[in-house]
Amino acid sequence: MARSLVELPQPSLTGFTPAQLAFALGAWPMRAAEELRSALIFRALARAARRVPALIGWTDRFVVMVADEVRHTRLCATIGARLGAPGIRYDAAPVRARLAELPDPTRRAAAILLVEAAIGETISTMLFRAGRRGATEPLTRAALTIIVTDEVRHQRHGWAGLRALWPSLAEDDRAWLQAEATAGLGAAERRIALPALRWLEAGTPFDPAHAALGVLPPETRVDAFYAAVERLVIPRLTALGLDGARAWQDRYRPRV
Amino acid sequence: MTWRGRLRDLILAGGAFAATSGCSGTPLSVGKDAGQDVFISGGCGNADPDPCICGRPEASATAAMECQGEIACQAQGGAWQAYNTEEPDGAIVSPHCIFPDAAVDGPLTAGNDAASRDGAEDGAIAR
Repeated sequence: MARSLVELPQPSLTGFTPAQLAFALGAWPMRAAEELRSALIFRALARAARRVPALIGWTDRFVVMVADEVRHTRLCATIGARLGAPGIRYDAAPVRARLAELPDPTRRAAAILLVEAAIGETISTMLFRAGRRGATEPLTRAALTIIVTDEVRHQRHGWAGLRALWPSLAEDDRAWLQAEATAGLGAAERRIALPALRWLEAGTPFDPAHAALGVLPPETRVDAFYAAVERLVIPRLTALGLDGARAWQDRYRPRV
Repeated sequence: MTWRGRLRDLILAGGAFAATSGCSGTPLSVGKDAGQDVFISGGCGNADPDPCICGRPEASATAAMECQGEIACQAQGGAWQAYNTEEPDGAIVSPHCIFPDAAVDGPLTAGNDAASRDGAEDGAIAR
């Protein structure tokens, strides 16, 4: 059970400059918005799963994932406010766009389980773990610890839910999921690794104080992302019955 | 592998110029520690004119339109010229598509971006 907000440690911001704080603290409202988008997408998963016979027994776990993400949203928003970060700016348009492309309940459940829960939460776990390792500011570290604990469970539900669903999927559904995995990996690399790679390419220095406040240094972000993909995601995709290596290789090939 | 090797592989795989999330229903919640947004806010600035990144399509109707144009351009094998360019006569040419045979096409009309489709979200969520 996650600690309540009142049990969290007090922030300790002594020694950080206003510029350092402004850079690092800006991530909290962004995290809150991401967590809220996750809550919406997992709620869509829970609702779709009710209409998929192979997932009937799984809906309670998906509902708990929604509750976790809502709690993370509150946590990140509250911590951001305590640390002096700006308020949340939330845009649901990406959620609407994603769900609009998944009208069929079986494919909607399968796609969200695969991309957002299994792949996404596996990568998130590695990123949050790396962020927690570098975070020394006590409130930041406590919050990242709470979140990473839930992310571990979410990715586990994602992979296990997929294994439960897999035998009931038709061949064309499986081929379509292969394309989902392929697109998901490309989107993840562009969204997570590419900004850090561009940062490194530009030779922009990274202030170590930002890591103490929970921001991953770009090298660490790159390492964590590729470790998640190569050591965890690709082998698990292959174990599931998809071709993980091909999904990665074709990640920018236009979808047909 | 070093970060330079990762970047080289990404470019060779086609990722440096692929369409990004924000313009269509690409997967969400993929690695959501939001640190990437910190890098984007630090690295976006004016350096990368890509209309499809940094939340630009959501923030600007013009960017949304240009993003659609970029995606359509790349889908047809073209390269998106994201900058305004100036002709010899002083005319300003807005962002446009450059095809291998040098034919040029402008951005698509607004109003058909995926984010505006209906039937997606199941209402607001309690916070």
